[in-house]
Amino acid sequence: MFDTDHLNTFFLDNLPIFAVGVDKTFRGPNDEPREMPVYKIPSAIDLAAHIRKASVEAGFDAALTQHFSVDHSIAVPLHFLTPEMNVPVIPFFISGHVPPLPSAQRCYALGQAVGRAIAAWPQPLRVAVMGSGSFSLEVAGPRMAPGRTDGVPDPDWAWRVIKHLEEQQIDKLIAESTEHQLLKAGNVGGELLNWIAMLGAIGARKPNYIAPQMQNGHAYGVWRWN
Amino acid sequence: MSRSRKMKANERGIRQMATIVAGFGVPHTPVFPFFVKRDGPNCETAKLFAAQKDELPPPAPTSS
Repeated sequence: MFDTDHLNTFFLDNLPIFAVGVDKTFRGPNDEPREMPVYKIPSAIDLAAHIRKASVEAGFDAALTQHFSVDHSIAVPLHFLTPEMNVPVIPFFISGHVPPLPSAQRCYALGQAVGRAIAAWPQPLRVAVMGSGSFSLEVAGPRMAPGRTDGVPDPDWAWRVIKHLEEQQIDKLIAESTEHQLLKAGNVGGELLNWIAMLGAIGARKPNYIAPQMQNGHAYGVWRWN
Repeated sequence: MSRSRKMKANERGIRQMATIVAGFGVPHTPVFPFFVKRDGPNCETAKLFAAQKDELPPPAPTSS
């Protein structure tokens, strides 16, 4: 799962642009969202180490983290999608909140490298690649909506992202996902980079669907072909 | 791959490799577990996650 930590796993004293969680298990959430337990989430340590090695060999200096926990950005989707926690999950962290952000092109290429690494793994695993995050969202910042603790500063951008995803215009999506645009879309707008990395991993494919939830500036996307 | 196909592949000496079978884009709003518990399985968020869950490949019995 490509993910952006909210300064809960990492902090400003040590904030990698890219990092892979390499361990047998990890726990989450570590930031106490309401009405969900703290899970022990299984991982795949050998495959995680392989993905990190392949990423470094492909030119992406991915940091290593062990004995880590994750925040809601990984735990909340898993709470709904794999609540039994019986599917190994490998977190691949992308720094999408604190500028300077990695470029969209680089995140797409990172996803491609991860895709190649998975395809080279000599075990008959079926792998789903996930990208976690919003397209336009401001959390606890000056662009919050009145009476809320968040807001959607750039709904037009969120709709444009969805259009590009639906029409497989990935080159346009990457070209338009500049750091300026991502930050204009909100203080967590860089989370789109996780979706872009996921797209790199799965290759050029048409989505089954993209379901927007525009009051939150995000969507639910599925690409399923096998 | 089915068990019989896998056995035949092994018999032919074909190496079994990992395969990406799906991609998902997911939100992660931290208050969603609370909303879904409060509003029930027919609320919008519960339905949207349930639709994604239906598309997940079934889990394999082993992990490393």
